[in-house]
Amino acid sequence: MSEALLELRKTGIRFGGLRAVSDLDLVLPVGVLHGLIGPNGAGKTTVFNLVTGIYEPTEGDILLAGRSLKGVAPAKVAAAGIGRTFQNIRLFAGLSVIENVKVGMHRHLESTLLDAVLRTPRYRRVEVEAEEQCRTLLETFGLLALAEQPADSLAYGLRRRLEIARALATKPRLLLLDEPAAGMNPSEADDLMHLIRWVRDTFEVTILLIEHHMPVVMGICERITVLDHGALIAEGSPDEIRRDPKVIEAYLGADVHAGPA
Amino acid sequence: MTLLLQQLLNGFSLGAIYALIALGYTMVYGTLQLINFAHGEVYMMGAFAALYLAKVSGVADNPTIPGAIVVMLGAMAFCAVLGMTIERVAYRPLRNSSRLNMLITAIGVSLLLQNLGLLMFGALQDFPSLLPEARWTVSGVMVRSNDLVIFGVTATLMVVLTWIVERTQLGRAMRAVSHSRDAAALMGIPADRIVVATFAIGSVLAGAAAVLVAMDKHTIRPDMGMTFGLKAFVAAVLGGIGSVPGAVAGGLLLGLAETLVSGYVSSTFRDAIAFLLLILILLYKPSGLFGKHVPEKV
Repeated sequence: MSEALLELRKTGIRFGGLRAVSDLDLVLPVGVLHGLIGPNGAGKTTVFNLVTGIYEPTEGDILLAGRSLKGVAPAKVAAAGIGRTFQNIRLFAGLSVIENVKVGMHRHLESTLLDAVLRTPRYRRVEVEAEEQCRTLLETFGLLALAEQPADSLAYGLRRRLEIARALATKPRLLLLDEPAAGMNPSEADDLMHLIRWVRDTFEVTILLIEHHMPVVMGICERITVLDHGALIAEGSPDEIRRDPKVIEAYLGADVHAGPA
Repeated sequence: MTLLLQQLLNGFSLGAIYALIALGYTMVYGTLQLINFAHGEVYMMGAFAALYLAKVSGVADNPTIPGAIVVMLGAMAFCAVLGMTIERVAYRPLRNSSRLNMLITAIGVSLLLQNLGLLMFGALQDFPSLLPEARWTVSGVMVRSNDLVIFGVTATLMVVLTWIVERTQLGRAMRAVSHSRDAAALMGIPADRIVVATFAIGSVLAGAAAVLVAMDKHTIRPDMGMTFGLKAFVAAVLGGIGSVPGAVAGGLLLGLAETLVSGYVSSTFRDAIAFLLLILILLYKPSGLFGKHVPEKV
């Protein structure tokens, strides 16, 4: 196996008496497209919040390329190369589409306010480069025609695409996608599935994907981890997961012992 | 007619000052959802810093335009440092505590600075002219050079501010942080640095306002930030707290309302009108003229 980009070691978090995630082991090799599934409330988004530094694990450790992320603030985690999207879309509503992407790029723009006031060559070069890179990204995501529109005027599916574009603008090594196909119809979800795989190949990012649309997950993920009640109940290839009795039980209830749905 | 024109001129002049101070309240509220009650005291300290600079540099004895510019820039720089220090010392340690804690701390900082001012400077000091002053009568309306200075400085600062907020990377990051500090942090925006920049910019505007008022009134007092700060806060709420154009509109509206009331009704009601407007706006449009209603997130 190639080197691990993200590694969770016996990671857990308690909120008071509630163990939202416990004893979770997870290894993502570089370049993998890994699915994270489980019933509602299983702790999937909590895992994302742990990785991105919104929560600090109370047990275990989280490593990015061998370096611990424990206690690292969200902005530093982003700087270390982790980009993410949100289950409930969190675009900067009043900013235009292209400005949202430029915010994602902020960390990579190395000019100061003084440069801006004096309009130094560096400032102009940096702004021109950022503009070009953002436009390329938007074109990739089919959003270029809407670049100057306010982000909150976009249709739902396009907002999800814009969130992915914004996360990619941070130039991440690891991209966390939280239910990118939520609320999409099957054909939109299918388009998105191809887009995600294409993003992984083109941008050479490692992707951890939370998704409820089973065709999406099964269709594009190379490996899948299943959570229930904050604990790992199965990990394997899509085929193995599809046949795993524990997974079927978690999704359908204990009484069902029929074959794969 | 002449009276009306005169009152409008005075009202815009006063309103421009309110707007400058209101911008500081509204910008900090935009990024931290904190009503920075110490902002009025930053403004007050700016006036005393300007007095000190004017005396030390000799501008007080020999008013010139370059001298006035130096004093104003000095006071603005002093306020920037003071604002950033307050943020670092008093507010940042409370960043993750409840908003009420921050609010009470802000009131504490305000009282601390006010009493520090009283201790250091006494109750009242004269402020010299920084510029040669003149007044003209244009078809019955008295126009003072100070009014023109106020308009010129305010307009310049507002153009610069709008440009920073709308056109620069810093401004973009500020707007992103004001929409969602968490989401901005997760996109790699160093939210703390953006907050510091916001305090610095708001305080710079307060410093400029302080010099303009001091030049105009020729006396400065440690409690000058109380009334002016409170009025400017009302202006920010009128315009919709968190909104930059709202702060400007609210400031001008309040300035006009005050001078019109004192011109046509009675100057007794001058201060009352500010709070009457506040009550009306809170009753009928609680989010302010330019504010958007944001549902409270749980």
